[in-house]
Amino acid sequence: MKYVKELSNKNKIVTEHTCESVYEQQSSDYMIKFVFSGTEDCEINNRKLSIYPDSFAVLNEGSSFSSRIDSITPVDTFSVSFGKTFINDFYNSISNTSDFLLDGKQTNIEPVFLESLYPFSGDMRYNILHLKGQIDNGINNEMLINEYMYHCLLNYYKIYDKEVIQKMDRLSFIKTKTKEEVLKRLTLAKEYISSNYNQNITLENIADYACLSVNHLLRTFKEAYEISPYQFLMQLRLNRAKNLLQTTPYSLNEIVGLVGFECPSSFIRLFKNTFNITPLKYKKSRLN
Amino acid sequence: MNPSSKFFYVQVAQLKEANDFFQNRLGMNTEPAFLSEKEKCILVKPDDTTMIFLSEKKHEHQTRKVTLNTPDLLEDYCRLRANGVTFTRMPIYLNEGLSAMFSDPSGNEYTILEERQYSED
Repeated sequence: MKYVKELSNKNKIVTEHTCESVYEQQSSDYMIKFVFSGTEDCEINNRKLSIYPDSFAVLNEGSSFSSRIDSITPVDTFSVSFGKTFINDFYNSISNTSDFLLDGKQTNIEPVFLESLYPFSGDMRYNILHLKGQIDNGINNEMLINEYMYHCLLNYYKIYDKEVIQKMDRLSFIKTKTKEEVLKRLTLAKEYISSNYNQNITLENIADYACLSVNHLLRTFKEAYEISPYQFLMQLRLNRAKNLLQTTPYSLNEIVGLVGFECPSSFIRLFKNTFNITPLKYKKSRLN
Repeated sequence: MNPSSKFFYVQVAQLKEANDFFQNRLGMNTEPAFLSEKEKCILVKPDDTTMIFLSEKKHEHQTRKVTLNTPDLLEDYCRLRANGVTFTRMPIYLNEGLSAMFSDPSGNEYTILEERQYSED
């Protein structure tokens, strides 16, 4: 089931509830894509990545994009696309002073997002869940939808600042250009881990994808994110296991396999050490 | 009585004007009431747990600042703006959640707050 809502300013919202869908290569709008349950496999500019419910993907206008859903259980996807005028107005309003705007001036630079996966949490999650609720209830108020979309962009810029700008400042390189390039590649490393977290991935795989040497990856990843790629992978597996315990009827052994652990006992030990509760007690507490 | 009920006593210039503002601009339920045997007031019920007593006379426990909770601030913000309410503070993100502010015709300040839990579960 698919629902498309296009506003008069070309902003667009698409929701879909499906087990199977294929979207062939197309040129994207400025778009933010979310998944509420399940996984959506995408290819953005020849990079394969998977969107899970704990992350969202950002795309630039004109990027080559395709996606595929193939799942036993239904996958809920939600995407918001921004019209050119809307996004340029937003970009002008946050990049320029009030005096500059009151003089009727506008910059001609178009925003370029760092296309990747970002954590779907905090205000972005609250606002998008509200918007989804309104869309599910058949909202027709364009002013309100635009307000949610404006805040969605505000929330994205805040997340970008936290996940990219602040992390870049931690890198010990002198040149800004070098910091930018390394952080871009580290973002790719995180994207690769997030999309392949349940596979048997090696440091070499991650380093290859990010176009960094293994040593360079290890040193700069720790510098930027204060954890190693392995610790990041373990955190991701545990958090996704937590989400599966909470939202699915799968058995513990099934979940252990789904999130990429080979041994249930090491999963249980790590889960308990991290969250101070065993997986089964956690599942029970959520059911209550 | 609900232990989490909130009561606000607010002084307004004119009851009629205040009633019009709360009922027609804010879309809240209002009803005539009495603060004492002789003193008329208006009782506003923005939700099941909040009561605002509007009166023209000055009293000891009155406040000029009222905080109202909402499950979706942006929805309320758009609805109230469409009803002609002028906001003195646009929606901003605070540690407690999303908040905006407007005034009534007597200059009392109303903060609407959508409380948000930011820590992981």
